[in-house]
Amino acid sequence: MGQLQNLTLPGGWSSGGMTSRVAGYDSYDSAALDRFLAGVERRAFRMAQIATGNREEALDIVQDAMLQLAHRYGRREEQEWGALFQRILQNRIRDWYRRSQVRSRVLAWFGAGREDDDPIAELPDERTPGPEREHANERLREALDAALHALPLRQQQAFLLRAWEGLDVAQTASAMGVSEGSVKTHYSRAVHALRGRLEGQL
Amino acid sequence: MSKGDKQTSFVERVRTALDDSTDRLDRHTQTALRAARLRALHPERAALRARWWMPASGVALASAVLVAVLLSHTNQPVAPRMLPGTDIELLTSAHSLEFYNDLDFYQWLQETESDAG
Repeated sequence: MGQLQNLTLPGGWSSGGMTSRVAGYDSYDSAALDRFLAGVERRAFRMAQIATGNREEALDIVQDAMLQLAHRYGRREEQEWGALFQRILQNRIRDWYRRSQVRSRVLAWFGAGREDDDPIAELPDERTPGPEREHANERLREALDAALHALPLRQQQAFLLRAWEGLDVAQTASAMGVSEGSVKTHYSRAVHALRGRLEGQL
Repeated sequence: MSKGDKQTSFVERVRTALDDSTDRLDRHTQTALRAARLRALHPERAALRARWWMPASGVALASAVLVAVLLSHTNQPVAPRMLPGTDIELLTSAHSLEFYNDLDFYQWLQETESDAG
């Protein structure tokens, strides 16, 4: 259970905050991890939502990633958490994607296709009656989500990690589990595809 | 503007739009993310809640039944009355309510096993 300690833990961990020790979980500075996760959760959710086109699936993926980071890597150095979390998140997204493809093939074999292939239709409609500008911004966000979702997964991941997360090529390669050359190729193709769809709108 | 500059400018606009979308997450999603974070940091609390939920719900329901029984006799002095034995067993049992819902099944199973034995 959580307990407030005033000790220096092994490995140089600060114990100024709450520590968490439960069966199967190594102790770590939960306050620091809480701050880290609070800082990344929104972008992580948006990445997962863009990939899956589904809010609930995205929340599940983020939950899994957070759990795994805390459970397996909570004791690692704080500066490692970012890279580790991205690696876990991208793996989860890729796992979801593979399962989704298998599911689609099975359903297609049984003659039951997806009723609606438009991922945007699954996103919550956040439009509210309001100024014309707000409506236009919402349309733009929908267009952006659709364009990103339409990218092959690897291009999508490479683009979001490089352009949005700000990772360099090596970090992106590590998060995706691919070579640096692959990252450059995927990123370049992603930018080209997105510009083709969005240049006039953004 | 060079080709490279145009690309950089485009990517920058996409990043801005993505940042904006993150800032505008609906309250429901923000709450769900916060809950997910707390579950990840304190899984022991989630496990405790899961273990205590069923008995707690059973106790809550039993309490509500008891109150309803007491209040149903408004013309009588407010004093606890003796409940039939089966009611007391139900209220104090450690079994979940689902167990009692499936009681017929378990009785049938017991009878079947007795016949087989």
